[in-house]
Parts: sequence; structure tokens; C-alpha cells
Amino acid sequence: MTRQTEQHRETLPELRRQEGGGATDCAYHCPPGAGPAWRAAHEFGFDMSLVEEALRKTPEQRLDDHQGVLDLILEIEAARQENPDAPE
Amino acid sequence: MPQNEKALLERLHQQAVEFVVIGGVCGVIHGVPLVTLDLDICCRLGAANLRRLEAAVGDLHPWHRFTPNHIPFELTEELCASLKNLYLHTDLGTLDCLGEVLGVGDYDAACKHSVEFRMSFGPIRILDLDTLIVAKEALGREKDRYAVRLLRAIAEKNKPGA
Repeated sequence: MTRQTEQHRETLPELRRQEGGGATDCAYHCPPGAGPAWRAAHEFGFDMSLVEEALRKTPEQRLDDHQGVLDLILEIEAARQENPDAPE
Repeated sequence: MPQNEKALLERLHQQAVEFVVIGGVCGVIHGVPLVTLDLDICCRLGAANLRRLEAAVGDLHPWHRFTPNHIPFELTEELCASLKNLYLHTDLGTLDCLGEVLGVGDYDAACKHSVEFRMSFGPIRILDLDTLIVAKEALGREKDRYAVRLLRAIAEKNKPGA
């Protein structure tokens, strides 16, 4: 194990709890109390950690975060239009 | 093409427009991490409220976004009497104003099924979570079904005792 990996394990102790068979599982796991709709959304493929993160924020923070993403998307779109030879 | 939903909401609030946030932004405020490119509101489409709406966006060069010639949004008595929906493009982005929400009803019905959220500039009303699910299911589009999966998960998590 490298020193860097060791440091990561120290800063992310929750990874240790998810260890199994020598490998470290970094994937999202539904919390034990997750209901059927939560599990269904997870199994459908949504990253539910993003929902958890959003729910920890205030409604206004959620709107601000969304604005940040939107600004980035619109910036990329504008750049794409200015560079029509760029890959799709 | 900018899109600043918060700035649009603030303007609507400042002019005391009667509105309820619906659609994707409503989902975002409830916690859905999906990006939406317009602001949808349900509002009373009477003359007085439309005048307030005009005051809110009048200096943002609003135009009817589905008109090829970019017809400017200019209220007349005739327009006030006949409008059912209003699809605008403004300097702060797209603003769709609906007189009715499918599966829910008119502004009064939407208002009845709304909750208030306090923003830094003041309170706004958004469709409550269960009603947003009803509205999105009524639309029946694939993108709405995606969002409904997340909305149901959030509703489940928000239940007392969950």
C-alpha cells in the first residue's frame, strides 16, 4: 500500500467500512434505511449521492448550484459555436 | 444566451407578480440534481398581473420566443384578454408563463398546492413535491419520467420518520 493510499484511508475512514476481499469499494451504497423509491432511482442509474448533497443544502443554495452548472453549460455551448470544427 | 433564474425570480417578486414556480426549476429547488434551461411559472393571466409581469421584464428586451421575427412582448388590452400562455425570451433567459398546469389546474389551484420558500430577496411559492409529481406525470414525457423517479425518492426521504 502506498503512502498516498494510506493517507486517503485516513482522510476517508468510511472507505474502510466498505472494504471487502482486499479491494476498496468507492461506489455509492444506498443507506440501510433507504426506501423503495430511493433504491429504484439508484438502480435506475441516478447518482443518489448528488441528491443527498442537494438535500443537505437550502433551496436557495440548490438554485445557486444549478446556476453554476447552467453557466458552465452555456459557456461550453458558446465556445462550441465559436469553434464549429470542435468535436461534437 | 444567458439564463439566470434567480434574477428572473427576484424581478417577479419585486413587482409582486402572482406566480408559482413549476417545472424543472421547481424540481431543482426541491433537490433534484438535473439541469433545466428555462424558468416555468404558473401565473394569473389577468390584466393586472400581466402588467406587473411586464414591469418585471420590460427592460429585458422580452420577445415571444416562438415567433421567427422575435415579436416584442408588448401588452395590449386585446392581448391581456386572450392570453392563455406566454413564452418569452429575455436578456436574463427564457421565461415561460402558463395559465394552467396540466394535471393541477389554473393559478389558484397551483397556489393551493404550493409551498413557500424564503430566498435572500424574499419569499417565493413553488409547487409542493407531491403536486409536482402529479404535474410531471400528467405531461408524460420521457424527461419528466426521469425527474419523477428522483422526485419520488426525495418525497420518500422527506416523509417524517424516514
